[in-house]
Amino acid sequence: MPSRQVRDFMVTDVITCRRGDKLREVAALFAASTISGVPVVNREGKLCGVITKLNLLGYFLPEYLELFADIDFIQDFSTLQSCNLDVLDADLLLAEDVMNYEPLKVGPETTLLKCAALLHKHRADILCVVDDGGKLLGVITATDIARAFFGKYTG
Amino acid sequence: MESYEPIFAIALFVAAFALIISEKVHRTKVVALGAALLLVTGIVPLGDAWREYIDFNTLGLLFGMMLIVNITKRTGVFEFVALRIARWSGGNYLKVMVGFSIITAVFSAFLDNVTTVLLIAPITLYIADLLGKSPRPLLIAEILASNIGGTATLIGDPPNILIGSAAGKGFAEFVTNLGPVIVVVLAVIILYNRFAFRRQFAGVSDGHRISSYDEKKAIHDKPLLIKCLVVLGLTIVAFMVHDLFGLPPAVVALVSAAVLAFITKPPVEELLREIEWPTLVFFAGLFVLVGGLKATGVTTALAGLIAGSTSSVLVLSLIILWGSAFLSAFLDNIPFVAAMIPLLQGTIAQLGLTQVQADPLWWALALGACLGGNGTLVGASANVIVGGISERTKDPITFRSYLKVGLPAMLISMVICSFYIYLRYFS
Repeated sequence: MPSRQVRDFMVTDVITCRRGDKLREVAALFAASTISGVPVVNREGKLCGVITKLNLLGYFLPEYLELFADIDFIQDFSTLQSCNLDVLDADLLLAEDVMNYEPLKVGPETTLLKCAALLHKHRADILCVVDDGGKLLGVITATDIARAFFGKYTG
Repeated sequence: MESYEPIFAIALFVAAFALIISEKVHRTKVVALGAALLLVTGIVPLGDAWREYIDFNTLGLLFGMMLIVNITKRTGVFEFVALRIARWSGGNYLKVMVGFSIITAVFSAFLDNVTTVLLIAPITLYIADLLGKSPRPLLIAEILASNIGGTATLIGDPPNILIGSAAGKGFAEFVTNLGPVIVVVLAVIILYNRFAFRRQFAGVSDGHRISSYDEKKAIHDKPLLIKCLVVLGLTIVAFMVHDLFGLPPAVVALVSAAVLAFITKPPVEELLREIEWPTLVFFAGLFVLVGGLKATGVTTALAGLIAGSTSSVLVLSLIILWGSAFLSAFLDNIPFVAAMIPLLQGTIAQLGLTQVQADPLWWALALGACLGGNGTLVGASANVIVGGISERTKDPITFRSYLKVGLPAMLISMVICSFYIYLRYFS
């Protein structure tokens, strides 16, 4: 099982979006389903980035939080100016404002175990599968891999 | 000595200085290569480098303080104090600036300035966010305060460590000689900040949001904190009296660091990994480079020139004060101070000055080199670090916006110091 190729397990009917799409609409995709991430593609279907749940949430958290070793002392985040979720209402934010410009990607012949290793190392949830030209073929998530490896125990 | 040796030593030092300023190569690599060249050509024999030129008191003091700070900052006590001050300010933007300026100055007097601003800048960004105000005036006030506070003590800023070690000035001497003028400079600069940013400080602040944090939660390790505070308290006392026991300050720092490391949890590997080794190696290499200038008689010759053209020690002190300040505002002050020290020692010897007569020269160098760092955004490492953190905010500090505030502040502090030097040492 571990040496099977990702092309046989990846999800091919992927929900994607374009760079210029309104972020509000991308956010709606996350709210409406259980997807882990939304790949961002160009007109030719070439992968340019990915938006994960954390990318989206991270946009509304102040950047300086990463300068702190620990943020236990902050009790109430709603009082911070930077934490303004309503800014999405204004339709000013686009997918490209939030997306990860360097998505994790693999070729279709990559083994499942290598995919698992990449997700683990980068603490990521979703891998994009692309061909040699960078065109998006599908995605695979940690959930999909877990299902492949451990599905036999659900009997 | 071959005739090329002095020229080689000078050329090496100047080239190293230029490379360091250009920032094309890391300063540690520059001085390491320079030192190696001096060693290999025999201009500075290894034995001399070890015994005479590399100042282990400075290195020991730096290392000891780095360890102490690394252990103490894990307790979260600095964040706690800053947040507590913000609570005291009741959300008043001006009071936050005053409070943060004061604690930045006090912390900088005992810790290195870079660590101080690294601890207080994130809190500043958070508090500014809470108040709905720009962090820029606060961050600039903190840059100024860190350089000012660091000037007050032996351990506050590397130039002081170098000067203290070379001129035999102890912790208490720094405090009694520089403390008074620094307190005045800090007060004046805080007032100046209020004026410089008067538009930002006008208007009402939204104070009630200050209740949305609990600073007690910033303390992650209370037992560790208590141990640190006890050891730190004893260390400060030891620093105050080290002269009486003939103990070099480095020994105080090292003993304190060793005790703290022994009684606390953090693993040795982690603690040692966080030591700024590049900085320590930089100092060692710099000492050898300056040693090259000493060994080849360059510093003695230059000192002779200075001594020959000096009419009054007061004038020389003021020249050193203002000269160091301007150099320090644009260049790295550490190589400058390291080179100035043997020059001053030679000048003092050739003028036949007593220690009391020579004192104002050393204090002028310390004041100029440390306070000069306030002049520009690149004047000191703390400035650069805060500038970098500020870049990612909505109101970043630009070189020019800082210059408009920092340069006048530096000039004001130099005027105050000039009067102080005249009044205290020459009248």
